[in-house]
Amino acid sequence: MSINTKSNGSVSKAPGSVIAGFVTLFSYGLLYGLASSAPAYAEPEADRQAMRAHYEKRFSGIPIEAHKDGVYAFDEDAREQWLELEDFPPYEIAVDEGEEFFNIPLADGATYSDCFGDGAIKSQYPYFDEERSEVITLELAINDCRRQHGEEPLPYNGAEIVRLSAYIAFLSRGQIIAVAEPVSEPALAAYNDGKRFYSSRRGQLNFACSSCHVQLAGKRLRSERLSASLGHVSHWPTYRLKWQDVGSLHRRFARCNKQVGAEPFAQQSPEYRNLEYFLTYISNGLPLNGPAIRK
Amino acid sequence: MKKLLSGLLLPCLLFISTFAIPTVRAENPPTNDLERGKAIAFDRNAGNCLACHAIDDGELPGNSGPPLMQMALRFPDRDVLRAQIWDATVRNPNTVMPPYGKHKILSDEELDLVVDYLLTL
Amino acid sequence: MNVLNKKIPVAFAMALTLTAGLMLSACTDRNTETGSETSSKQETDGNLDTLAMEAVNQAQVKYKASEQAGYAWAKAGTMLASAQEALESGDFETAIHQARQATALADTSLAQAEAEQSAWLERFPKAPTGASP
Repeated sequence: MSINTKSNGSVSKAPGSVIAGFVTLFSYGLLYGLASSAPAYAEPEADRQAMRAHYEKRFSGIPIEAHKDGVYAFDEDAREQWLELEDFPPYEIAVDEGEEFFNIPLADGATYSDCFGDGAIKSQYPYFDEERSEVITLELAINDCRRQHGEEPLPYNGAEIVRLSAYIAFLSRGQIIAVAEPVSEPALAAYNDGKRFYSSRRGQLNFACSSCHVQLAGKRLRSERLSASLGHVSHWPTYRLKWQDVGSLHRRFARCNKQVGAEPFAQQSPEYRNLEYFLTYISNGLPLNGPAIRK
Repeated sequence: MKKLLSGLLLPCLLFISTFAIPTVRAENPPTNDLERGKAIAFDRNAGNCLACHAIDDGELPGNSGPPLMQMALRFPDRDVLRAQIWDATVRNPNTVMPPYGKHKILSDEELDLVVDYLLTL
Repeated sequence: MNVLNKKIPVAFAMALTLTAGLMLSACTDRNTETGSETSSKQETDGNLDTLAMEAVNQAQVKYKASEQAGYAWAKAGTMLASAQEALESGDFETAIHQARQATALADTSLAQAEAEQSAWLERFPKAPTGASP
């Protein structure tokens, strides 16, 4: 947002003004370059601020950080029941199993801690890997670690990887989401791809993610309140009562896509990883609070 | 002769009965068109209007869209209401309402039944 | 007595056969009509099975295109699958009918993909005025 769009490009003869004029010409050049190569996207940080402002206005009196709890941030009745569920959290077994998996030696004798230290590392993901030129999620990193140490990658829709990430999420509770701002062209492209996915209507029912979670956030579909998108990524994997199991963020993405009549994408597909990257960036500043319980 | 008869009769009867099924099906569940329209509007796998709109005696309606009441007053022109359900984005590009006709969520016949029902509210 | 008993059913059966025959021919007429919708050339020499095969192939191409665009609709996919099933089981009329529905759905999803190329840009919350750095 630092591009000077106000200047009218007038050039006077004073030396200082010549420099100013040069700068103006330069910034026009920049603008032109942006306009000709791609649509003029807002910068990621402006997007994040715009989202925060939108939800602050829509849910006045509710701090942005509270949206880490989804609808329970503003649905008082549902919150009571939800808090009761936390007395005996149904995700606990998955966390315990994840810990066991975490400590089983890999093929070459190494363990996951050779890749992930003490395991409290969730806030490092997702990130844009400049060398590989793609978004690396925690799940991708788990399989990279396995390959490095002579193991086959785990299927992304299987039980083991979701339990491993549930354990890692548990250890990482309280860390603050802090995705580095996408700066390089490929990183921005991945971010904007996620933003485009989020904002595009799809499926026979013609809904974008933003239709429900920006436009209608706080309203009800039947008896269900619609949550804000800031906080959508903070609490995964999540135990869903509907699933009777812990499941991943991407499994939830797929479910949302199906609900609007769209054919879903595969877990860890570039589409869903870019969407996760975008959503996590705009959630910067919120604490991680997974695993959680949801309906 | 008896064999010949049964040989002829049986396929004929079968033939007729298979063709008769659609007529029976069309007359069986619906009592009248307004009730059919209401059933389509309320059905979660069809109109599912209650997901967003409060309607009549519909249980657990959402509040994402306005309550559907006084429809004949709000839509004196039936075609306007029909067009709105066919594709509401024509009038308001930002609306969240699914384009029921354009996206073939409802058939033309179903859409007309729903429109007729809504105009009684 | 016997003669009378026999004669009535025979007349009845003949009448039924006649009706059935007429209905069948009406069916065949309809089939040629549906065929002519796809291509008038095939009206004369086209068989129902080739028409069905063509309709299913067309639906498949359209559905693949919608998948490639990232805008496939679940309903188009299930409709295509049942059209393929009908084709395999020899129910060509159903196959044609369902394949056409699948094609229409895939076409609509492709139109959605096209419209969303630029439409999505308008859907993101705008930065609050005066708050930009």
